[in-house]
Amino acid sequence: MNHIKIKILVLMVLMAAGISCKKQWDSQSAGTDQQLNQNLMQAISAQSNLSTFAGYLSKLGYDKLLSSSLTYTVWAPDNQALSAIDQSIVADTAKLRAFVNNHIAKQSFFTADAKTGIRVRTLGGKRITFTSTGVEDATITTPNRYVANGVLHIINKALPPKMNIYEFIKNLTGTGQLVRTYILGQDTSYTDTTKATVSGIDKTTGKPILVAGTGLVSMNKYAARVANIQSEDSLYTFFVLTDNAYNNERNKISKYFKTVSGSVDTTMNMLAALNVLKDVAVKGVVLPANLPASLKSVNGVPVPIDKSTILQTYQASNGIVYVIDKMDFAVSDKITPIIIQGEAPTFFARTDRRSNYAYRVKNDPNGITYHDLMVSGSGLPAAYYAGYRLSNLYTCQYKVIWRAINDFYTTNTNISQRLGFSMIRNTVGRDGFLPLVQFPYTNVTPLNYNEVTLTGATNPNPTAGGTISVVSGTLSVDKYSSVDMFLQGANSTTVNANIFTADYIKLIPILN
Amino acid sequence: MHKFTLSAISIFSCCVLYGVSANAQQTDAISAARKDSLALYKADSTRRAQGSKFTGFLRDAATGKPVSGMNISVEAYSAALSDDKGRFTISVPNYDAVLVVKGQGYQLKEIPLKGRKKLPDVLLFEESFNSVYDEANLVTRPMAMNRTSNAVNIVNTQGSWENTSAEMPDTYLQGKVAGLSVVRRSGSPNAGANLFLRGFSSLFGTNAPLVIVDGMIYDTNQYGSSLMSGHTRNPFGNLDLRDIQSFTVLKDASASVYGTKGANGVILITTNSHPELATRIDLGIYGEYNYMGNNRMLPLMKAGDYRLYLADVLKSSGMTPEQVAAQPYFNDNPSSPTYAMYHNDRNWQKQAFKNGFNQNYNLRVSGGDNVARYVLSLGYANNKGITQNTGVTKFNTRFNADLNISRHLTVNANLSFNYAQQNLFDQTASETSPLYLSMIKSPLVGVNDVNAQGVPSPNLADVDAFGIGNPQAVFNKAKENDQNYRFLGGLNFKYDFNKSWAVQTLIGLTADKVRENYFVPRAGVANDTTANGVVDSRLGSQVQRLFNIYSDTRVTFNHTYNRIHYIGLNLGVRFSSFNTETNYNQSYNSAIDQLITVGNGDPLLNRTGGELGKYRWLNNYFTGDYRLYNKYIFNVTVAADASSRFGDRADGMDIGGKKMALLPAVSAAWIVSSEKFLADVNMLEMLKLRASYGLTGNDDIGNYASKQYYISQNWLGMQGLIRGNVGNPYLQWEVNKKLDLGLDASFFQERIGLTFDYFRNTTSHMITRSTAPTVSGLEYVVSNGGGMKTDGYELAINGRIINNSKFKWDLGFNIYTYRNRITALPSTYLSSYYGATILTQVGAPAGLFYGYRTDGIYRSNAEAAAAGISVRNSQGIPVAQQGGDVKFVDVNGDHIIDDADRQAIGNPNPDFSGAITTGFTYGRVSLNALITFSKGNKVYNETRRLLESESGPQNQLTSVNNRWRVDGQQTNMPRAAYGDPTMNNSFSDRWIEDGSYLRLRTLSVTYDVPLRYKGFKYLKVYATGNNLLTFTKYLGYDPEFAPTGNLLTNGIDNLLDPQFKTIMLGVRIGI
Repeated sequence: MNHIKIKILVLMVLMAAGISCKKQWDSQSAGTDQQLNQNLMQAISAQSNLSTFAGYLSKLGYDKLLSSSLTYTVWAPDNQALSAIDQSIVADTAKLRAFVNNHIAKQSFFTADAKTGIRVRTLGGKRITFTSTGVEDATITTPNRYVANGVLHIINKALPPKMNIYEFIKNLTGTGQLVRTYILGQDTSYTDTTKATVSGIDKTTGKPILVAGTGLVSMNKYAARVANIQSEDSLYTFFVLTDNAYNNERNKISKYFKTVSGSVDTTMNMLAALNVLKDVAVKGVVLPANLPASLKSVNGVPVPIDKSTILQTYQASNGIVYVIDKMDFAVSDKITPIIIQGEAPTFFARTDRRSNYAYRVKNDPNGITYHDLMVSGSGLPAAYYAGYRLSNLYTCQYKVIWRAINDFYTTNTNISQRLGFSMIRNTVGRDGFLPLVQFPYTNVTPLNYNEVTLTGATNPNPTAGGTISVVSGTLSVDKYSSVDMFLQGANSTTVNANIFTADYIKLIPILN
Repeated sequence: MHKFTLSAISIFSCCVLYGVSANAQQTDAISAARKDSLALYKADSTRRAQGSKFTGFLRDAATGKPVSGMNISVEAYSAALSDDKGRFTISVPNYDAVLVVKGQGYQLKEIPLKGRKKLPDVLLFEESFNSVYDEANLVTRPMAMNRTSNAVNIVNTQGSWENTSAEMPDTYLQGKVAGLSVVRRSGSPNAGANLFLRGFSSLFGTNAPLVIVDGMIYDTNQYGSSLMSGHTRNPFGNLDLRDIQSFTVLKDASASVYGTKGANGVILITTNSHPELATRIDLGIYGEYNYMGNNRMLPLMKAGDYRLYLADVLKSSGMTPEQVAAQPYFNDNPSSPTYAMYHNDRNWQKQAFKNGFNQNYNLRVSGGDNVARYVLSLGYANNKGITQNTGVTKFNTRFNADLNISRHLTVNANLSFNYAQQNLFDQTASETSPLYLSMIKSPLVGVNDVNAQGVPSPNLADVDAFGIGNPQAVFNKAKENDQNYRFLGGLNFKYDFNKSWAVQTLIGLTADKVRENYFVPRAGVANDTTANGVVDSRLGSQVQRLFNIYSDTRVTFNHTYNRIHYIGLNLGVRFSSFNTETNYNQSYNSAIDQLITVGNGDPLLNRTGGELGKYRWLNNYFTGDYRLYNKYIFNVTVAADASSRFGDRADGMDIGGKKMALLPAVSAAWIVSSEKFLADVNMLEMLKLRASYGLTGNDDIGNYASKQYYISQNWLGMQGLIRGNVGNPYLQWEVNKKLDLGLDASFFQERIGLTFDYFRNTTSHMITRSTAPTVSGLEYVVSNGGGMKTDGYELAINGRIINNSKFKWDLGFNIYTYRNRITALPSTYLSSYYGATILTQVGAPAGLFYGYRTDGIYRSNAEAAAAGISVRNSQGIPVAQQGGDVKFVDVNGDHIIDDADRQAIGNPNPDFSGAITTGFTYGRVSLNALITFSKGNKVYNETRRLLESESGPQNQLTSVNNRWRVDGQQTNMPRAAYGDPTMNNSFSDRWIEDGSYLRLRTLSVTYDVPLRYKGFKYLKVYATGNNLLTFTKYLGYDPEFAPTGNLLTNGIDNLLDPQFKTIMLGVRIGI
């Protein structure tokens, strides 16, 4: 009998011990906001006007994604908005996925985060522009429905994924075909050795042997060099020239790219095309309403715009595209002076005279800093020179100017130096030069900070088939080519008599 | 010092001389007294023969049956025995006499006749009954409670066998004494409790009551701080509760007998005394189970919620959404190489806690003969902590002996030796505290390293991507322990000249040593940057020693004249020499984690130090008791203390150039119920009114603060000496004036007892630290510039509700309240502890929390902008608040929240606290319960502040799920903001909680197994549950904790190991 009582008592003790007493936490943890007990998928499913979108999500298996513990933002178009979309998208799972992906982004974005508009990358990789009131061209009807794992915005228009500029050009039909051909022609691929499959190591070289066809990376050279119109992360205003406009512009400048004389020159056309098209991309989005008469291209060249000739406008995912029938570039903006900095020579007459070179940083009387080269000092050979290799000189005559500053004598003394041009000769190279265009020795007067035009060039070594020649006592490039330029001191070994110097040399194309 | 010793000797010899001369004078008094008693004897004989007789009946209070064989006596006059009908007849000198009833198995009882010739039947309760006639072991002699004029409480432990082995003398007192706050420090074994008797008396001195064990000071101070953060070595751990027979708590000015050590009251502890002659063996075997219910865990986020929080907080860190999304823990592709590493859902908190088993063995042998009686007790306990790999192993021995050397000379020996070894870890919020790490550790990561396929390696994972260490690495690899022992021994010689005169002397010593070893590995623990370098592994060792010599010599005189005047006098002197020594060595960066002793650290980062402490204390005391007709009671106490700690120019009695603290106290009591006009009020057993007033002192003013001393200083590799302080020769003891007005009452033949007290303790000359001018090169100056006042009430009621032969039910209730105010200070000052700011200001209670008040959060950016309030950040720059920030109250209206906007936000002192005790006995089964409660105390929940900070990748509480995200959201949880730029986590009332609680502290069931086997005296079976139920609104682990003994850290929950539940099953056998 007593034993039973003990058992009962022990039982009581154990029961008392088991009673939960951490109830005080219930009120602290319990959400005042029932929304936080839902996840995104539940929140979407609970909204009757989002049933279509919810159906798409379930169809794609995104219900799991939006119930997970990762944070998402969903811009959910209401049923009315989705009734307007093309049913073929709905039928094709791949298209539907791309469509739905464009409405979902990782992390949470509230309208308060988007005061000035932000570009949010969606699951599909495209970015969409999110402002405090809308997203792309849709208006947010119910903003900022926060739930446990993110935020839901209800919008009144669907956000079908847009093409980017490159895709737009690729899909051009009818108009702008020359531009399309050019841009697509820049597609190329290369092998990224870090991505290629390695089959083994070459025993002799020790280098990895790559399996052919692996590690191939596609790229577009235009996108790489001029404007990355393939990237979703950049924003451009891009002008597609109609064939007519393209031809006009190319013809205006093609003679400056002539590589052969008197026949059809495909190289010339390619170079001219690049020269035209490098200036049709502008950074940022300039909407039609804001289009000025002129913009600056990505290369800083003025882009003249005649709004009346715009044939088509397309809002791409990474910018805006205008198809335009006229773009009257100024030739002087396209064929621009070539400036060679004196302090950046390619080579010298000899390799053992380093002690004679001075790369100076000085202020001119206006307080503007300049860098120049000064070659001087004892042991400097007579007629010593600095060589400059000049690439891709336009096919035309040039006005040749130097700015050489003679400020190194305590008593004002002229120095004498000259400039010559030769074709690139692999054999002689740096050991001597064979000028086809030779300006005479010219005095550099003391403390003259102005540009000096050089004249009176002669051709001491006439050569048949030369790419450069002397015309009207100045340099004429006859074929689009590269040349060597020589800056040469006086033919003397007297110290200080054979100094030469240059801040820069400018070759100004003479346009006609 | 030499001077002091001289004066101490001179005072001592003074006292002895005085004692001798007093003795000489008294010789005549004795012969007079003898004559007197002879005459009295003759008178008595005639009177007895003539025979005023009194007849009464004794009955058992429970059964109502007559009690036979009881001894009834009138002191020094006559005696009688009760017969089998419970009837007794005794000669009485007059009808004002007091009958004393004694006998085996029953309580001691006094019956004042008050002129009555006939009495109702006298009811007697069992021996263990809590009676007003219980004997208190007072400082100088035992005295029945009804005869004291002071506020005294006694707690008889009855062996306290029903308690778990985790219970220690300090924690045992919880709820037992009205007016004694016992606040358990933590759930760490041996952590013990802070004791505060009637509130506080001192800001910088100790507030702990003086503990006297068998007449000797039991040093409960801490000398030096532990290497383990959050750990305090508890000297009560070296005192076995089962050896303690009774506690006597002196709550009022009667503590003045201990002079400048009595300001916080005195707890007198008596161990195994007065054993019986017959040999007894008691053996106790106990098994216990510790557990931490799942419902006690804090609701921390699981992986899902945590990952959502992490995305939010990282977004606020300035990372772009792409960068956030690219983090490996947000990549749900199972083929990613880090998928297995970051896709766990680990409950680190649950893993940190570990339920454990304790074992405990006690053996007690007692016996002896007329010449020598002894008690020998041995014990072993192995108590586990609630976190992994923590626990304490204790061995204890005690030998008490009473020797009757001759008829006059008795020697009493009390010797004890205790050893304990405790394994523990850093507590509080630090990167080496495994419990803290377990709370903030990301649930996404795992315990072990895993490869890309998710196969775990045996290696523990190192610090994770969030910079948080691996708690399991600390649990497994850190080695932190505390080994300590204490020897406490005393010999008490007593010579009785005759019935009245005696002289006794007690000589004892305390030898105590604590050794700590400390090692935290580098693997799995985040590095720390100290002033000298980046540290990875941490090593340390420390030794603390204490060696005290103590003596107490006194002459006592007791006599009752004509059964009317009782006089008791004591004159004595106590002397004590305290020696302490602390040495520590801390080092860092041992070459490998296998080198764990301190010598292996990088010598460049070594830190060594220590402290020597030495002081002497001399206490001359006199007590005088006078009782008239056992109705009017008077007591005078005077103490005159000298101490090497006092300054030479202190404000005290000057003896030989040395200043002494003269501390007198008086008390008086009137037993109203013994008056004739209340003789017929039979329901009234006793009614006593008490009043006491007196001075006590607190000598905890620093060993050398009154002297000028020098400390060593290293400057650019040169060693030198600099001034260590401003010696203050005026420095003196704190004076604590104690006033007590009390009432003791007992009704219905002791069925109901009641004690009520009003007290007021006023501290003057309180030690304060005023900030020293910067040019002095010293931080502060110590002076007696403060004052404090504590007053309050205490009420204790005990009653036997049901009293049947089979079923008994006792119910007790005590409650007490105090109000503390600081009355004087050189200047208001602020202190801080674990992020809390504490205000010390005249007119305010000590320990007041001082911070911002809040009013929810800004629900929208527009609301925040409209308010236009900025918060000054840690660089002093105002930062504008935005939606989701905490709405701090701008007190001065300058639209900038800064230090000027702080206000008092909570008082850690309770409105009232107390306990309910109840006991049922049904046949051989008894059930006892202790319920403790505290109401209205405010608590700073630092743990929650850390876990709702929303400022980093640390795991958070689930309440953070409600964090503000967007305009208009209805919530009071601020936004997640990395690094807390708008100071939302400033010390504010957000972290102040109500710490009220009601707790079923102990519930125990005892069954006395009926034994027919002759060899055994008894066999008892115990089942005890500790800490079973707690009702509280507090959101931390436990509303009861104490980080330090300092009252300025009261109510600060800095994440110590929480208290847990224990179930004990035990058996005790008596042979």
